[in-house]
Amino acid sequence: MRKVLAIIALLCAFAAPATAVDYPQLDGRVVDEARLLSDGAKRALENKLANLEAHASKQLIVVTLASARGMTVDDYGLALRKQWGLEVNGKRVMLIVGSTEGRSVIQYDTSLKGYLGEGVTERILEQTMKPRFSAGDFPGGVIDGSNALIAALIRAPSEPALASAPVRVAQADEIRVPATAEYPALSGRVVDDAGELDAATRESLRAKLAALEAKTTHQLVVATVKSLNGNSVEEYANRLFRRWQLGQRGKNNGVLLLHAPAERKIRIEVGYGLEGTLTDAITKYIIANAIAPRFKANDFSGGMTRGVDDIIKVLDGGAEEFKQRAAPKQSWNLPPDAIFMAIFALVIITTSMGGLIGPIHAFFVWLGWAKKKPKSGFWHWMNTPSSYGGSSGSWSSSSGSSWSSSGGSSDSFSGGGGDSGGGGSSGDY
Amino acid sequence: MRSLARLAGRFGLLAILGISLAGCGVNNIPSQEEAAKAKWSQVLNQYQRRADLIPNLVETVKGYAKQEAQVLEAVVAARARATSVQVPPDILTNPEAFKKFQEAQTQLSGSLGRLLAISENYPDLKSNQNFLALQSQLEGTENRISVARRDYIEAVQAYNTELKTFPGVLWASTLYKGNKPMETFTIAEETKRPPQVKF
Repeated sequence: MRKVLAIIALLCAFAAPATAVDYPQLDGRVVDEARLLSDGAKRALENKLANLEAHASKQLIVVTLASARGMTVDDYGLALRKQWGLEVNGKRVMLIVGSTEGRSVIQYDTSLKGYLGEGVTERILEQTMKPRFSAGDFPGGVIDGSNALIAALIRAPSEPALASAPVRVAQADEIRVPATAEYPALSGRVVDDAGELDAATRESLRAKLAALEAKTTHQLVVATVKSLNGNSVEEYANRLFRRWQLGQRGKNNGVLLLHAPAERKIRIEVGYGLEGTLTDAITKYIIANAIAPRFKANDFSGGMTRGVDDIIKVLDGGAEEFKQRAAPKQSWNLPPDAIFMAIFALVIITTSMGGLIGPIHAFFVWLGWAKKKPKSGFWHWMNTPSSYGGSSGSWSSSSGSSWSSSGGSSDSFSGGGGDSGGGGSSGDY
Repeated sequence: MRSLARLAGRFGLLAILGISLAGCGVNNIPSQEEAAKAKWSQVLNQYQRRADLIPNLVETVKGYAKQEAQVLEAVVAARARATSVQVPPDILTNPEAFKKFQEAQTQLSGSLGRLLAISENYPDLKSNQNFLALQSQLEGTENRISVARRDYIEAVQAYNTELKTFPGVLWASTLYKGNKPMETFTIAEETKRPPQVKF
């Protein structure tokens, strides 16, 4: 019994760190967590990768990491592949750029060795990408590296690799990655993804919304989206609201004013904490009287401005309420898990320093649960790393300036952790 | 001195065992069970909110559309049935009780939909402020119900999966033998939308 428990505990000790790591979402063939690419460049690359998949039936996934969560980029890449369920079905390549680690990795299935073996990936990393990265051109490095990989993947396997093979991707219809829904990023208080507001309106709305939060701590966000992806406006708004976590944690005082011009839908989604102030009836009234008539006349800026003005009027209800709200109860709660994890990390470090890993591994080998030595072909996944540690000075120092500008958000704004249970109302016009 | 060291060693070993067990998700089953129960109480809460709105709504409609007595009565009866359904404490693991509950609520949804549909025929009613307010509240509540149901479905999915997959299955078969998988809403009502009326 004791032995069984010990084995379970050991197993768990190894399973635990894996569950603690977080992973970006696989929401397309380009997962740009580090925000290295502009929206246009990302879309263009997505199309190329979709074409590659449609015509050459090989999948290339480009990942930029904000950080490898304390793991090496190589290990994190392998973990990502597992996390995203990409282990089965070969003919897959991942290009992983670890922006904080200054290290890029190309990982590919062994069935693609004919295309990518014999130093092809090393050349792409060292000769194509590294010079660009060292010069501070991160988008260029990612795009050129992807292009070179595509070029290598579409040539016949026997053909000798050309240093500058032209990209021969047939221009077919745009193939979309099947995604359940696309949500815009919370780039500020006004997220005009559909591009229907003029610059002056955006700026004045932003100022009003910021002033509202400064005074009442309520977070009101205006969003326009290109498409609801077939969802109802209620479901889309609720999911977007929760994704952005509008409102302060514990107070849930966020409001989302959403417009989907393609579907001609409007919704005001209200966080739990404001359901009593901004009631369903009031939101319905605002949509019907302030917003819909102006939208009907194609006056989107005017409709949004009036809608926001009315919502603010309701939320900023008077001095008495303001006084009550001004004293937020902030409780500092460190999750108990964090403490456990900290102790746990300490234990792991000490055991690895004590050289216990070796005996434990031997024990597992003895149990038959671990391979003694990776046989050739056991790792079906080749790993070609490249680190630009030598010239990393320029990489890390120039990195800061290069992506704060590509992020595109001028006011740093994020949701406060609020939640919504579907309050508010919707309308069309 | 030596025994003190041994004691410390044992204590350390125990701590390591505890920590690694915690890392293994020994707490997952009870915490996910509680999460699902919390979501369920939100579902009940929103259904109750809907039931509370109905008497007012029926009164308001009555004032303008007396001749629709049949539809009005159907709503009142469906509400009475839905609120009288006994919710036993074990409803979440009792398929029969759960089904009964779900059927009663579905019936109420249907007769409410008919009530809202016929109210379209009465212009005076449609422009009544009280009715408009009630209507928007009812719509809002229906939406809250669907959000609460979705949250519950997701929580149950996580819990039921934990019961059946490693390492949760180890704990389910040892420490938490009493834990049964929970019932969840069938998709049929989930895809049903309240009747959309264009005007």
